[in-house]
Amino acid sequence: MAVDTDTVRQMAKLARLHISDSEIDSLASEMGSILDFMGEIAQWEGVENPVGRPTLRREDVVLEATNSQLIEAAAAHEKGQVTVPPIKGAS
Amino acid sequence: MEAAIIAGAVRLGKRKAIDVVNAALDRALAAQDLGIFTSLQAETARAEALAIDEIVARGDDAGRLAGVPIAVKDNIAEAGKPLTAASKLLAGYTAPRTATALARLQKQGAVVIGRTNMDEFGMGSSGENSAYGPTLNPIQPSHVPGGSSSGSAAAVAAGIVPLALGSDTGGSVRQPASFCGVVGLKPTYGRISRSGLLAFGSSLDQIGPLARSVRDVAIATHIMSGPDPLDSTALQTSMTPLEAELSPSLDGSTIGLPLQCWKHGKHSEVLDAVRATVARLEALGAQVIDVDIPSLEAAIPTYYLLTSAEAASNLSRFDGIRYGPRHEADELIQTYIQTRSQGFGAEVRRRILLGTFALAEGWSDDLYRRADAVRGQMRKEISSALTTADVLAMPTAPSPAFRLGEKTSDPLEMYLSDIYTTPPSLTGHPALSVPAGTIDHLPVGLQLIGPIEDEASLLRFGMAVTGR
Repeated sequence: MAVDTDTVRQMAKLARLHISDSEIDSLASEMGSILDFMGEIAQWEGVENPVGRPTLRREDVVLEATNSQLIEAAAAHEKGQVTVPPIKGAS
Repeated sequence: MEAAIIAGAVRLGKRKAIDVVNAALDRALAAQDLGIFTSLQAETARAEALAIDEIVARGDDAGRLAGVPIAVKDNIAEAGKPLTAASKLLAGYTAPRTATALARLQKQGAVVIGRTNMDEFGMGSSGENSAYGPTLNPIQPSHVPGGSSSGSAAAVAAGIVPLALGSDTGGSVRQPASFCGVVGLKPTYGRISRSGLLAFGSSLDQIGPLARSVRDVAIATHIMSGPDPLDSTALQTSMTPLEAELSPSLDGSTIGLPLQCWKHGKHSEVLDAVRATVARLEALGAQVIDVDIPSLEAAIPTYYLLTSAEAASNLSRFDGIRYGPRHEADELIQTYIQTRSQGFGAEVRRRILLGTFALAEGWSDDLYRRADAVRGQMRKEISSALTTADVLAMPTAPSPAFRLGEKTSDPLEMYLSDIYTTPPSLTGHPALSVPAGTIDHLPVGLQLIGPIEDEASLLRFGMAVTGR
């Protein structure tokens, strides 16, 4: 399957990645050959993958909260909350 | 020296845990050129060792791994310690809690001396995809140690620690074990809780131990196994412990050789070495039969399709908001893009793009479902083969360790080195790699695949090979 550079850019956009112009051609060609290879499974018949095991349930018990440690591990936080840049940049 | 022997000596007060741990730290420092560790933790290791010596001095039980120095792959969390997955994206990140599997080893007295290098987020088969630089194979430093648990395998092979933790999604414990001449187990899917393991391909990921002896691998797996309220995919049962005194006889047992690996295999040198090891098991009384597992031929494309899709989804959480450094831009979406683009290495970005493609509307819906069906078929076929054979045997990898840089320019060629290890990852069966001789001084591994939830019989065959 030939993968064109527009497709790679579209996938990069969906995956929130920036691909530089210098790497786009080689990436498209690598992805093309890998996807060709993955496409081989089209010739295989299979059975439905059975669901492995039943869903487990557990008691709802109160545990020690680790929220504050998780928040303190974030790059930016204030008053126990993670802070983020504006959704829309300043115009 | 084996972990079981060290722990025995420490518990009896014949050796001090602090001496054992200091010696391991010295060996780690002396081997720095091999790129095995992303960080060492001498201070906490010494404090923990002294605490164990105090427990022993009081006459209390210091645990089955008392004073055993271990190394832990840098994608398995320990509270208060770095957790990088060998990625720039998590540089400086400190884990808020400890993985269940590691906590269970520590409760038995194991002492972590350092965190090991790896292919970034577990994606690679050579240890070269690390933001910290490659790990070198201690047996032949011009060669790779395998991956992605590269540092953990090298730490055991270099004699720094007797036991290390890795994780295995498609061979990441077994293939480096093979390349470094040590023992590595991927237990049954769900055998060991993944709570605290950074997710890559959640329907395949397993934590697994690497050691010099099958016995140590068995002890570590037994300790780590069992249900965990923090991981609902963990099995409700613990592994059956190995009997202390195993009979060396394999009378009445059967080893299955999949035709797809042996008759159609192209790697005759490796096949010859591994077949000679299987012959040793025959000499102990095992019968060898051919088994037919056609779907093995589809393992690599099936594996890369499913895991890339799962990885694209799992790694979407790394956007600079909650974990690791942030590359802040004027607006939120650009912050995500900048952080991810500057943080992820080339292979991780390639897999995310492939996975995004595999999950994108229109193109691949059908292929993804087909891959899932092939996976179901493979599970059925392997389980069926294991009704006539006790274990399946094949090489762990199609070659011994290759040279550094030999495969970095061709990702597809690198993916093909996972041809034998991906099937049991896809199907959930336990699989063990044990050393099976050398080719030009480079180790080769024999992979044994056993029935679901039956690590014990697998380990028994492994012990028949290694004798320990």
